[in-house]
Amino acid sequence: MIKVIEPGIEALVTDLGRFGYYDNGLPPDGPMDNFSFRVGNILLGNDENAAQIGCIFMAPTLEVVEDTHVVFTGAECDPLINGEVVPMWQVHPVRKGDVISQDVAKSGSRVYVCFSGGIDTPLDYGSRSTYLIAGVGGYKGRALQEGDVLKLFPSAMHRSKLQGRKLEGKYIPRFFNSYELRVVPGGMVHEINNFDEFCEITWTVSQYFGRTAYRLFSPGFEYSWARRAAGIPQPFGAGPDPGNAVLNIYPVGAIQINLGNEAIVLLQDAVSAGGYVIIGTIVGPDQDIIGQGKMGDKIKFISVSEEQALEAYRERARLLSEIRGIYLV
Amino acid sequence: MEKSRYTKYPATLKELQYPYISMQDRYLCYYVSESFSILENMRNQALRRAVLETKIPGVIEVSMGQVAFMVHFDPFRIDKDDLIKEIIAIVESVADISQWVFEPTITELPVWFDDPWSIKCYLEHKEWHQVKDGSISNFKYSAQLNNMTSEEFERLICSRPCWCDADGFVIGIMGLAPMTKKLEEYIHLPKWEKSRPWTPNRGFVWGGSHFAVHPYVTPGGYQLLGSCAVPVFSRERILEPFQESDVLLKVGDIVIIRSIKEDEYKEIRAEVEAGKYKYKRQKRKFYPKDWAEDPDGFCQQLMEEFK
Repeated sequence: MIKVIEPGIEALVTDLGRFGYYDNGLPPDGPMDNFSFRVGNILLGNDENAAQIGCIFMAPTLEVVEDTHVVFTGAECDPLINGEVVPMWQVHPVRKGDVISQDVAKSGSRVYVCFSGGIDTPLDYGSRSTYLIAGVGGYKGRALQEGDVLKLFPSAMHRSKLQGRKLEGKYIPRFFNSYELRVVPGGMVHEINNFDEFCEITWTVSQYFGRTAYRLFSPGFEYSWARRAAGIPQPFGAGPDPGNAVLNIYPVGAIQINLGNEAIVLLQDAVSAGGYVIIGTIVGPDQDIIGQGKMGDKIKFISVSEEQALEAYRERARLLSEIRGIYLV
Repeated sequence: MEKSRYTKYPATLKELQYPYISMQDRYLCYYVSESFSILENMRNQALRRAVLETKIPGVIEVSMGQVAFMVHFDPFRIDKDDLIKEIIAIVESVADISQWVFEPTITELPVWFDDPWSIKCYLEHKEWHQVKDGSISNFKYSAQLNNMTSEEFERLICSRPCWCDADGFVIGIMGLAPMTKKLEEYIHLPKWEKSRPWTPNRGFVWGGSHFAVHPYVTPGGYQLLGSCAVPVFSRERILEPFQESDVLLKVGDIVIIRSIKEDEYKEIRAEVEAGKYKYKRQKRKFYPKDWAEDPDGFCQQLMEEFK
């Protein structure tokens, strides 16, 4: 068991997410940085879907109630055990009474605090992930608060084997303030005439970024609305503005656009439908990159084919498989 | 339906013909129609249901908008070209309206129009609304836009059964539209100029050609017309319709709105709070063909039978 002393920032119990309920408006709610999350569980010998704590910038301060093992993954930070800095991406034994905390993230934004065995909360719609908006899953459907006590499943691996496990430096992801995201154009991209320009310019993450969406802006850029240029009226039921669509379907990772000349990237807590045009979807592994993003980050989009997107998934799968291979015991 | 009708990206607006398929790495989006209508929505629901029932290996979930559905698939379990072929075959097999059968539950929702919570929420965010001085409630503003008195507007909303046309956005919310075929009979309202950060729980809201009841406090941009006395979403699952699910309404269900005033609203709320409220609900078979042949007659008969 572990006890929450201080809540951190939006600390949520999360597993790899829930699937099969998006049609009812329940998004995956999984980790914003899927890779870092998985590696935490691999290092601990856990099932990769074992639930852990995900938070933004600042992990909660936790008191260890029963001996266990912990590893910090995700955003670059200084984890602390009893006030002493310990390395990230490395398994640390912790004993009853130890206090685990973390200094605010230096690069990236999502930190995962992972425990041997994983966190034992009830499955809700097939997952332990927290969906804050509807109070689904996680610990009582909410962010962790002072005084909460989390149960852990028994360790999947004997402590003697966990000792000293760490991720090789070459596999540790690095996070930057400026990055490229691959996007497969689609949806209603025909509603704009300047998708090429959309990919040429630099976008900035606004103050509105979260698990549901990141809102991006690019001063001076304007969408060239194809319908307006061609004098074709808005479809019935869409709404009067270009950028309005008849209630549309939104993939996770979709880029939604509007008259305000924003680009809104929908992520793990995405809304499944809405009344705006979407112009493409960010390739899965690159959703981890923006998932680690924050206000002020600079983004460029690169248009790729479906086949190039699939190659990105294969590359990610190969990488994870290599890492799993190292820690197979 | 010829395959050539399915436009492949990149396509320009002028080249596009509906239906079309947009293929992305993990998502196949099938756009049934460009414009909204109840009939195209029924088609969309029939197609989406057929896709779900086929249980294609590699398909994770099939979500829907009003006139489009989306297949989320694992590209390493099913090849995208095979998936497209399969989807087209399914779509063609259910193209004919005479084949469609729905089994809706008809549910009555009692609504207090122009209620104090809607007005309070509007006044808190009035600078984002078309009427910035707080001089007129969303309900009265909406009635005026339709050249009606409040009483006439209320009667119009309650005069027809309403079709549950799309769920999603957030869990528990349902998009509804009165079951008319004539475009001029749709009630159209503008959305707020800017969306507001919250909408009251059980808020009855209208934007564009359809309305919804908010399942809990969420952001929103539709006009705030009233407050529904009964929950449409319940995690506690105390009231009878929630025994099976947290969600009251499913796509393809039918809703009848009944206007209530403050006294009855309070009575119903007390019953709901005490866990004793009995929803007025009926299950029946519904053939879209019957409705499409005579929408007015069909709606009138359905309202009569529900009384």
